[in-house]
Amino acid sequence: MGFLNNVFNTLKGYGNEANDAFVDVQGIRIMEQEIRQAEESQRKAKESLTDVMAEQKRIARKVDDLKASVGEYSEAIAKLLDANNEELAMETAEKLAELETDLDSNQAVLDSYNEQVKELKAIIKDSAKQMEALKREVSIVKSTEAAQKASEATAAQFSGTNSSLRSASASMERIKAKQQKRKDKMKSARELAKEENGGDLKDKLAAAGVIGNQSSAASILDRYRKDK
Amino acid sequence: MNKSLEKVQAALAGYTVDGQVLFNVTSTNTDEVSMLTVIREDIEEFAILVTASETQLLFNVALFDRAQVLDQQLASLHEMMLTLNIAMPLSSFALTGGIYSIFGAMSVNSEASQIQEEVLVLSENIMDALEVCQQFLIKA
Repeated sequence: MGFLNNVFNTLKGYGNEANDAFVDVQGIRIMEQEIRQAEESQRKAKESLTDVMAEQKRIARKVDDLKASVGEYSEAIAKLLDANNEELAMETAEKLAELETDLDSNQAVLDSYNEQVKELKAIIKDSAKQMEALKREVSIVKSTEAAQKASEATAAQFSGTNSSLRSASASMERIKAKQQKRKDKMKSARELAKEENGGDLKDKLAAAGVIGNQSSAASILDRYRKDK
Repeated sequence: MNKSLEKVQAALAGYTVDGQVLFNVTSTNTDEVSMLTVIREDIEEFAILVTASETQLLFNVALFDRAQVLDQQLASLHEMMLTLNIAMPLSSFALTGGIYSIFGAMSVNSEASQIQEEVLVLSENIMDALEVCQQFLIKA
């Protein structure tokens, strides 16, 4: 089974069916214990991988040696046959047959070790991913819990008195109102500054046609034309 | 404190947006938990909680819990969250321990500028995420 499947089942297993939570604060404590145990078996798995890999290397060396010998004896037989030394060729061929059988069986063992190493590595990688995933889950639940406990100090979104969050809708309305208030304040500050510069009156006079329009590209060009 | 969290704290110290310091960072270190609380000044109700595992930094913002979701709207809320996950820049929706959140995850090897961008974008997503979820929530 893939690692996400395992993670999903673990989270569900520690869940609290009553409130649809896959894993809650109580579940997290037990889950942490399980992660520690998983880490221990991970360490053991790595040790056995090391053992298997040592054995794999030993067999690989043996296979290499046997291959070299098979090569040597094959060459020798060819040479002996060329020299018509049938008797020694036969003796060598018997030895070669032995070596080839030995090579075949050792090669089979090596193949199975190679396969086992691949499998062990995949298992170790998968369980490492799984532990990381569960640890992240733990860190989210625990940090949320810690923030909840500290909520009175941080004035944040958690109610502090029980395990639930404050109403998101209410918080949102408060934030929006606050942001609007800030915007309004900025706007009135801008207006005030404008008034102090007599901007407001100028705008009104300009609108009434009492004073000329504010500088425009056309009026500047007119000015230049008059100068000419 | 965890080395990765120190890195995040350093990246956010003195980080300014348009010449303004937007985020206030505090760290919490107990036997139970090691984390940073990042608060954006104009939305202080929704804190960004930063934790680190061996390989990843997690930035998580709790939005609301299961109790606030209208029962008959639960499936629609989930469908909407999955639908919008790709659309939401750098952040995704999550459900952890019965609490809905938006979060961003990044490698512990991330650069300071990437961490700053992550936090800024996540903080910008908070109000948008709440707004789109509001229709499925019990009104205050």
